[in-house]
Amino acid sequence: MIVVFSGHQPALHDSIPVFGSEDDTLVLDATKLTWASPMDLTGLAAWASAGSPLRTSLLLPENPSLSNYLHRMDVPRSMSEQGVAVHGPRAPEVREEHSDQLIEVRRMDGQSDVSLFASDVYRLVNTNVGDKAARVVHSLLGELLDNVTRHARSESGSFGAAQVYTGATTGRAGIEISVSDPGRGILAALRSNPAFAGIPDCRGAIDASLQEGVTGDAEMTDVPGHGNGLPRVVTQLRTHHGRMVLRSGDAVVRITARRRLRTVSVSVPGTWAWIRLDTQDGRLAS
Amino acid sequence: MKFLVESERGLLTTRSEGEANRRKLEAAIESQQDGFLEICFDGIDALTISFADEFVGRMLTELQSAVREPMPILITGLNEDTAIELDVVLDRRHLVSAALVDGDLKLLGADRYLASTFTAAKQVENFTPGQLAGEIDTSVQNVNNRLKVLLMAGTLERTRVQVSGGGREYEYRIPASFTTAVPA
Repeated sequence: MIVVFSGHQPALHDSIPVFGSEDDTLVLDATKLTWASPMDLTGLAAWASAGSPLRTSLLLPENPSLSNYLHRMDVPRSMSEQGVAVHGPRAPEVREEHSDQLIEVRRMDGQSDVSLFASDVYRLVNTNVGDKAARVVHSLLGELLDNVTRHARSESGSFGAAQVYTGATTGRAGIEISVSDPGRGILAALRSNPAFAGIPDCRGAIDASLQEGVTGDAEMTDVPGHGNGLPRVVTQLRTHHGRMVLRSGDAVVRITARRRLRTVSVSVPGTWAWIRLDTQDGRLAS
Repeated sequence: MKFLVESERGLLTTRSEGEANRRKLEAAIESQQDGFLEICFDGIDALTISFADEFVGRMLTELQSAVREPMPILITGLNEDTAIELDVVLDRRHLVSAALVDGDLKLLGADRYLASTFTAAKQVENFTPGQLAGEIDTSVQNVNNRLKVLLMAGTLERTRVQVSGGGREYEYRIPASFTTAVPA
């Protein structure tokens, strides 16, 4: 199977082209990638970890600056460590120091990794934007991480990345964070609760997960305080004019002031989430 | 008893961290005889709804459903943002709790009726339901209903007093133990 990450931020758009073959080799083809969001990076990592490492390969972008960027975000190195074959330009000899503006793709394999990632994102935002913004981001990110740790059931952990954009390149300053896991997905998680066993598909599962009181934890059905994580994320994002893209299986929802939920032709492994908050004059836009 | 919430980095994120803190607090309550509980968030910069629900939400639910005399409970060391997260959790669980937010004594999780009753209670040292009803311009029955909720939540304490015309009634106050935590 060949999975093509091409063009501008493909993971944030509806479809990621897949050319199927029935064998168990997986090629993640990023040769035509021109711009990568944190979700493209964590998505690549999640997809690679979902396959058999010895039969998985990554083709790096032809664009030298983007290839360098993937190296800077540790995508090739982390995949190599898993046994994935990486093809394409080598890492630059001198590693640019941007740790004050980004968090490289990081595998999280347990509570302590999750807490450390949350802490590093907090520090990143606190340093670049301020403590109020850092608290909002921590609240949003915490809900995403909690879903991963409690519901994903991923044997390969999950992957996080974050970046602060100054706006010098894009004209829009902001913070982007992504958390992706190759786990069982929202549909399987919700269906494990008999109350939601009848959800028909991934689109229905994402739709349900955005409603209050819906949880995959059967013991917590109808317990106040449970099943409100994603609805709360949406409310907070809208307060700050933020955006979210959530993919699970063959469904994707894009949330801005409005919500656009679709079934797409290609199913991604697990659940991928991306949030963006614009910043203005050293604080979150509001 | 003062329970200091534990965090390595000043951040509280996951339900697992909430559960770990709740287990420690449950054990501490089991082994102590003190009639006052302070849950202290000193040094905590940020927390999530998930953590707050797993720790404070579940803890207060258990405490309030236990068959026992109400115990004064005060949450301290909150900033404006951590207080908002706790307020959301308590509101969803239909719980209330007294809390120090940036040094101010507030009631979290409350609707406007409970909030106004608590605010009025803070203004007077000791009061009967009838006296407070006059202060907030509502019926004694309404005030009694609200005081019952506030008492069970550990935000007030009461003693039985003799009234001048004979008989007895309850006199309420903000718990004296709160004054040890509230800045002068």
